[in-house]
Amino acid sequence: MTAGNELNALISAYVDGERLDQSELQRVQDALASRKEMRKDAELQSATRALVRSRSSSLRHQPPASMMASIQGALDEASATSNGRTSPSSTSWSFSGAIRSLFGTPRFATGLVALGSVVVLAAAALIFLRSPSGSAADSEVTSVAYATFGNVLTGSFGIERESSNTSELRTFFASRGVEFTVFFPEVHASLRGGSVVTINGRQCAQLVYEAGEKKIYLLETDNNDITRGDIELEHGVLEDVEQSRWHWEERADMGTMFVWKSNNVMCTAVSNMPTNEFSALFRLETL
Amino acid sequence: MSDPSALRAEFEREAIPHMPALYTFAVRMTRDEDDASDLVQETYLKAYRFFDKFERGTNCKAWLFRILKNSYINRFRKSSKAPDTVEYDVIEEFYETIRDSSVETSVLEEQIFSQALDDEVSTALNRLPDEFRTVIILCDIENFTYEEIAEFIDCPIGTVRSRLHRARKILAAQLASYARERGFDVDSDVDSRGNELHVSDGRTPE
Repeated sequence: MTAGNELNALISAYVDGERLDQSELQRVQDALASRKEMRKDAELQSATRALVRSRSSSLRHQPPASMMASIQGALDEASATSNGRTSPSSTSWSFSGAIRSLFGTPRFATGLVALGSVVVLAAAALIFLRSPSGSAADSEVTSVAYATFGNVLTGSFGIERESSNTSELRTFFASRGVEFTVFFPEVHASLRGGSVVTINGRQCAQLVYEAGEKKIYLLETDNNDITRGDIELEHGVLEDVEQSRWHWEERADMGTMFVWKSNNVMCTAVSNMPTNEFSALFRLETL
Repeated sequence: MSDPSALRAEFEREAIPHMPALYTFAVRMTRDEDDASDLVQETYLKAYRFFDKFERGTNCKAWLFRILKNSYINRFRKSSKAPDTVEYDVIEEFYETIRDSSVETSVLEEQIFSQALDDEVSTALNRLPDEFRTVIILCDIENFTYEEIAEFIDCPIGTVRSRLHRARKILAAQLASYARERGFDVDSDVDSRGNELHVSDGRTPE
């Protein structure tokens, strides 16, 4: 920053009454006393500041009643969940229930034909089921994740180790040949357990979470395997993660996906929640 | 706090009152009311889920704004729905063209600022690039301190000072151009020392 720009920046702090150290204050006062253009600049800053502040009420937007009601409803639901209450339908999980919850929200419902969606999910699940048990036919991470999530929804996904104990699960994964340290994100959902899947000869970890009626499937792969090309990750997704630390997408027929890297673990999470609900479950630092 | 109903009551008391501020910020950033609603909903859900992590005694409004910012970045950083933003270089160049202007602010204040329409102020604010619009909203509408703004935008306080200075200067120039369109005579005469902007009411007397 040039000396002139630095002085300009000090002027804004000065008119806002922000704390300046003694030397900064002296610089501003000297400039204001000796230079007409600095006085004018300070006046302009002050006038613009006063204008925006005087119009702040008209610059505000009133939250729509529908949004406020929706937030209250969501908080009620979250409170009920944290109190240990579950809705009747959550105890009888079914494929039709999964489809309803997946496509029940307006964001997902738009332009969808439920039957077509069932076909897509079933087809995605079949891709996975055709392969040997615990081994993915596809070597591309997002394809495996979407296909496996289809199995989670239909109930055909087998959780090898049912546990919410992360130490126990880490031991399980290590015993099954997963060579990296499995990452357990801080997520406001119940951990149901884990399984191992082999992608192109590499052992990868899978975790399943539940949040009320919604499911979350998390596939973890060693980033070194991706770097070496043993496991593929769609180029655009990888580019997003490299450049922006994460990638998200919301596919009406498949679900919402987050991909991010934690240390050297590539995490791919899929859920049947819209993005805002899904994202809201994760602790800030995770995503 | 482990009692869910007490937690909910505290959340209602501490967080919900900031909803208009969050919604205003979200609308200003997304320029779309539906997107803003989604962002605010996501923010409140996330805040509620992790309200036990909120450090009591600190600024709840600033905490909510940080959550909203993260959600905004996550949602729009790679989205095709990302609001149009002006390239930073372009605005820097524009700033350089006006930075030496000496503006007759007493006249400006009387004849432009006092008569600026609310819509004009709103439009001028919306036309600022994200970086500049953010600091103006946080400072002049939401009354955040520079320190809080610096934490929000993850930049040193010097950057906050600098951005505010530039943002206000651009805002003033934009409002002067609106005034010109409405019939005020805003001339810019260049003298040997730089641009001298004179303002007068150029409307024809009735």
